[in-house]
Amino acid sequence: MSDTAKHNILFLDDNGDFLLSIQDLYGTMSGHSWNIHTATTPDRALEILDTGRIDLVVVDVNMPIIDGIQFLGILQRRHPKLKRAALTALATPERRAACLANGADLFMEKALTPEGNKSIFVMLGELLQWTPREGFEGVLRKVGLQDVIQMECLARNSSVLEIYNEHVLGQIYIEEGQLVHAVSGDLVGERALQRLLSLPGGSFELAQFQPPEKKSISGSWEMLLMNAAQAIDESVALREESKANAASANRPGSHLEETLVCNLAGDTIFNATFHDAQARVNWLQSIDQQAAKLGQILPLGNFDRLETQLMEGRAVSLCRGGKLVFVRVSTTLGIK
Amino acid sequence: MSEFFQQWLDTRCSVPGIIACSVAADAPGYCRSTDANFPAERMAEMVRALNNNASLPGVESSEVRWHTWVFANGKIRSVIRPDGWTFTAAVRANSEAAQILDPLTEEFLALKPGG
Repeated sequence: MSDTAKHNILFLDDNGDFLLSIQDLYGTMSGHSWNIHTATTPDRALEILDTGRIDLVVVDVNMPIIDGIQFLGILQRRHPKLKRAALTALATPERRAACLANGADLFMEKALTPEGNKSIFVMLGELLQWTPREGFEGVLRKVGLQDVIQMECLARNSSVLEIYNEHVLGQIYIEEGQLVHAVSGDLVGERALQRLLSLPGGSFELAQFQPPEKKSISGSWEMLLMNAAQAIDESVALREESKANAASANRPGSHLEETLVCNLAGDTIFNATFHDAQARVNWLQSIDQQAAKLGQILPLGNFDRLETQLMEGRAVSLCRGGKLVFVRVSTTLGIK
Repeated sequence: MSEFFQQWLDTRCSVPGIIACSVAADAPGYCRSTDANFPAERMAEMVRALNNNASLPGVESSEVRWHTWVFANGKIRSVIRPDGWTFTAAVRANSEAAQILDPLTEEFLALKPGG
């Protein structure tokens, strides 16, 4: 491996065989422009990092003694400017949230196919090229695409949301707080938006706004998100139904029943509830206050949401970005 | 009946990640803590605070199975049975207790004191 290689990347994984294969594979894929260092233990990784030559560290999440999530936390304190990626054989929303919360710039599932390895190689390459833009930087925990879109639209921002996972790449264009275009593979417009919003997992990045070649979406973003949510619910229900025998079509489904968004002062921003909207606003405000009280009794960090499990459905009361959001979904038991 | 629920709580409060938990027919009830920084008295305070929570408008209280307050570093689960007994648990995020919170809750709801 040449010392004049363009990038120095450190892989930390307790599986030595995996490290050997990665060293060989990504070394070849990069035309040996990546100088790949490896470590099977966190202490060896820290020794290498202390040489100050590493541009990017890729950490296995599931390791004995000190797992990858803890190690990312150590890196955040000791090497805050280092680019960090997490790699795991078992990608769960909890692990993803924990890795991002501990400073990972990327969270990816270990590839099982050559295409998957290529995707990881490309994403690591992108991360190596990435330079921080002006503005604030932070971590959003357990954040979903819908949340980001809502925040961008409510703030009337213009941006491009780039979404990717092992199988899908897509973009959602937001211009001055309105959804104007979406593309995902061959799909364009609302169908592309629905496909991207229905992805079970992946990564996304907010990029600087570039005007799209065409505008394929119109209408209020609130209705578009609700339509997408309903279409996803219906497609999920249809998929479930098609899996089952027609005779056993009494499987549960779910429907978005109501959504309400207001600011902290209680001014309604979006109202799609058939209940008394003011009562919902009062509820959201009381939740925000109650969460603050609970946080004083037991400090567990920032309040994210209250989930209410109902006999036939679920309600979520969120407090994010100065906005209070209430969403209720009902589950139906179908034909008995 | 009180002893029955207390015994159940004693067998469940040692799951890794549980900070404190409580069963009660009337607040604050019987509280257990596994965290020296959050003694049982503080848990009792939390149970009292949760009892003062407003009810979800337009939804009968009998329709509510449980509430989960989700914070960055943990969750607080509050459950009420039809017979009035409540179960409250504070757990750390990404812990074993957080993973089994739903089955634990279902178990509490299915307990039969006389059975």
